[in-house]
Amino acid sequence: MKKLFVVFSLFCAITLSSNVQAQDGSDAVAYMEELLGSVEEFENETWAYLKSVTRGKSARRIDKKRQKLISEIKSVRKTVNKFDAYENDESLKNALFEYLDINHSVLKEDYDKILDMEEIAEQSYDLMEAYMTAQELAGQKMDQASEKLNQAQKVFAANNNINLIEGDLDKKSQKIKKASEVLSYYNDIFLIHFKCQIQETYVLDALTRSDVSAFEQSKSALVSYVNENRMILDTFPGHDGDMALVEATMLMMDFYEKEANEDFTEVTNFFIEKENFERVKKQFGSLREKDITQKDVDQFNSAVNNFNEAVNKFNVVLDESNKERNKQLNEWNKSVEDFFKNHSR
Amino acid sequence: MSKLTVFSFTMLLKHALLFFIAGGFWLLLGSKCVFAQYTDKDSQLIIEIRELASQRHIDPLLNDSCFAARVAENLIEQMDPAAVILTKQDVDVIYSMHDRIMLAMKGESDQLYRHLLNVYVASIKRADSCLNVLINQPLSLEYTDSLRISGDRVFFDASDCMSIWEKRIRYFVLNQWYNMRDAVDSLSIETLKTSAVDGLKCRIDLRIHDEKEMYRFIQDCFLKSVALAYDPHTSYMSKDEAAMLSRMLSSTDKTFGISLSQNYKGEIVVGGIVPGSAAWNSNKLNVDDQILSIQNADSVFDFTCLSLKDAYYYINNPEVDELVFNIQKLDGKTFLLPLKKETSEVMSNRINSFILDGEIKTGYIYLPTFYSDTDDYSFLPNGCANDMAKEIIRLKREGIEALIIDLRNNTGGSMLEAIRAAGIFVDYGTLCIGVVRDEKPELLKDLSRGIIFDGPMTVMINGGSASASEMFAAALQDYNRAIITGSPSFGKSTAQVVLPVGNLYSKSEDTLVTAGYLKLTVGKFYRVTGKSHQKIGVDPDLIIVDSADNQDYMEVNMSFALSNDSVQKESYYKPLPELPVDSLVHLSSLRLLENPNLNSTFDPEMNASKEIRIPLDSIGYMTFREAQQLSECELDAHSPFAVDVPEYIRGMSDVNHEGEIFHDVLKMINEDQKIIENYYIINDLINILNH
Repeated sequence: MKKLFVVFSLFCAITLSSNVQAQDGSDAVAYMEELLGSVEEFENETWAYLKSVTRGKSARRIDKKRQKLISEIKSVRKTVNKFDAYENDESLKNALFEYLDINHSVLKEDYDKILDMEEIAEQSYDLMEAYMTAQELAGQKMDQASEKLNQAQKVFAANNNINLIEGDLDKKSQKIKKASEVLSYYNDIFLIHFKCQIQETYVLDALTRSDVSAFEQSKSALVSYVNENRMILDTFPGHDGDMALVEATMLMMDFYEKEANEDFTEVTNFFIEKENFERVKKQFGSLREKDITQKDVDQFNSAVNNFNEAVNKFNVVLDESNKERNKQLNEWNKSVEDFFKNHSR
Repeated sequence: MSKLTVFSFTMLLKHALLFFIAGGFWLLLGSKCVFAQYTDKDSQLIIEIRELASQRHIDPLLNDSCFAARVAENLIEQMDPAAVILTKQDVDVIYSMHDRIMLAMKGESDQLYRHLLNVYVASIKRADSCLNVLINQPLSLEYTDSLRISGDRVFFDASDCMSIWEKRIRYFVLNQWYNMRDAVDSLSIETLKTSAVDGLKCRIDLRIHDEKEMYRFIQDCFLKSVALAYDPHTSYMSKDEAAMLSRMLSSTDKTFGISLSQNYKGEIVVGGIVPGSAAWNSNKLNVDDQILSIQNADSVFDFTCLSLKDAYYYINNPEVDELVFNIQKLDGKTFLLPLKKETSEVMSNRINSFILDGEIKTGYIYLPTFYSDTDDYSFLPNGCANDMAKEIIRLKREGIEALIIDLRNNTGGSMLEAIRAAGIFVDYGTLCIGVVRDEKPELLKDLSRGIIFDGPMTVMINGGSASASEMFAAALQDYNRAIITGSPSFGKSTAQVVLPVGNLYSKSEDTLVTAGYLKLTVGKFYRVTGKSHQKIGVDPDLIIVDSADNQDYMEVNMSFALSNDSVQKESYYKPLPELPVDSLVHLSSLRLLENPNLNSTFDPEMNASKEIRIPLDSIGYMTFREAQQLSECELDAHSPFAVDVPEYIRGMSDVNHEGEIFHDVLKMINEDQKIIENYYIINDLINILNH
């Protein structure tokens, strides 16, 4: 299964700092260039990571790149730490520190360092929702840190009479920006699908536990999610006009809807017929032989038949549903691969 | 995420299962002293109980002097629950034992026990001698006098012994005389008097045992009094009592599926009902129902003068397989209930659902307790929530449009099951807030998102709906998910765990032996709004009460009940749009104006220490009883629905014993005016929502 990937907000800050002109105070310019230039290697590693993600490399390789990126952040942090304050002004250095720390935490999925996870857990209904909320808030934190760094640059420049000029992005930055947009679009679609996929696992989990209450509730929640997602997907734009991911996700919604409304209903029937049979069997067994009427026998036989029929349907439906799920997921995964292939060149 | 916090209340729920299953009957059994077996290490028990309470009780008492006063008050109630033996003077003496009580709480209890024993034996002998005099005096039912019955326990002056006991005899005689008035001539009054005195002497004689046994009784009273001093739901149960209970609840032996208890009048009552048992399936018994007698083919055993121990003996007798129970409900109605012992096997479903088939096809589910079979937090296939889910699926297949959940006299049970059951109707969000000592408040949710039934529904409650059932009703009320009807609920929002106490190493058995069990109040729970129903109960949206709803057995009337408070905690809950409660109240009150048995207003003062003066002359008494009977009229109005059962069990049970009971249940539902009113309310609700 594809997963959610980290989308970076660093590049705006680096871009802004890439064209610096001094009116006076060349020491300040040098300080600023040197301090922000220390993250150049980080930019290289970021690109390497993004490249591995968007070009469909193996999970192991992506993780290796992620680890390398984490090490690079640590190394950059050490370099930044060696910088003194510029004329007692540590604001730019501190903003850069904060930015690096947040990126480090997000990459390591150390969310509790940057977010109040207890609060998120209480706000969220289940782990799926907590995970999604954490992702969303972590993204916001990264954006905020990036914006803070931008502001810190502007303030530093203004305080030291430096004129910042926004220039065109260099080639690598352009690539990173494009890859980030592709990833961001994918992440949005992924989360739409993810909601239903996790909800489906809750339904299946309840099935294995014969927990009828949880099964029925989770089933109804799955139907609700499908309906919500359909409304979102109906107006969801394509990426550069490419609607393939939206269409693939719509097909998954069709599958989940059919599964919930038809296949899982047979499972419910099985649970109920099984219990009906056990109850009728118990009552039939408690009758004295001389009291048993043809009506009782008919009713007992009817319960046996209903149960047998429910068992057969249960087996057939689950088997078919499993096959269909695998097929649909493979197609969805292929659509994702194609999407990255088409948009990462 | 704070795993510790999550773990703590989860653990509480897990442990709480043990208690909540047994909740109702422990409550009562625990409040009555029995003649238990003790060892010379008993004084250690008191210290252990106090240590456990100081470590874990949700609201521990620190002031020893205040605590001792509470223990003294409890001792008086434990020794004489109906306030018939002890006099004002005896009570003063017990209150003056403050210092001895303080010493006893430190383990030096013998002196206290000896003093209490002296008081108790003297009081019993005094009562006995008064009765011995009265039995030889003629009894007249003609002169005017009255007996005061009140929720307050009032002790008589020692000098009034004769007149007090005479009043009681007259009351019992009049009661018997009125019940048998068509069959009794004037000469029989003396016979009734002899029978009444014998009955009273019998209850007194029950208390007179050899001194060693009396000493043990006092010890038991003291242990229970210490536990009850914390709050009304913290209680102590001896090993023998626990074993007795365990036999009644055995899932391998055949049982009737009821446990016994004694109420404050010393009457033998139903303490608890095992889900799925014969008693449960009868759908007729409730906790607190009095057992007047039992009978088999050969004989009748009167339960009105019987010790708890003897009552258990008759019911547990392995040679007895079938009995007819003569039951008296709290409202005084009596009926005969034939029961056959069964093994309380874990059945796949223990909830019976019904269809009220009228203009709007409505499901009806009666749930006497939130039962659970397991302490596994994550897997509850045999809990009542799962059973309720299955019944609702069945009812939906039958085409129901609305649902009535009847939680009247539901004394609680597993909180976890109640949360899961509420989750069946609430899509998403916190259902209540749990608090244990020294931990942050925790939001409690149903682990599964989504709903099974989204149609209109009402939840019926009354003063007997306690604890988990109040949580259920409050959650559905706060979410605007259901209309709550009836009278204010019991008012218990605390949670308990059961802990073994007095573990001692037994050389002979080479194992640790537990002396008893402490049920300890370790948690509180609050509504999603942060408010609590502790001591005030859940207020119904629509009041529907009858004369039986004015009972005083409510949390607010219990000694040392924890106070009502609130908790500050964001609970992130999103209620549904408001229900048209005002319109429903208006329509219902118009209907109730035409119904002489039901009322749409509830007077809370009626519940607080209600005093009745019963006339003790024959004419006055007859007028009094007739007035009582007039208060409930038979209505000619037809029920707006026919009662049916889901299709798969239709028909077959008609021919057997269960079928007869089932038939009675259908009739009972069809005639229950509160259920009928709920049916009308559902109709109103659907009409209003459609417009």
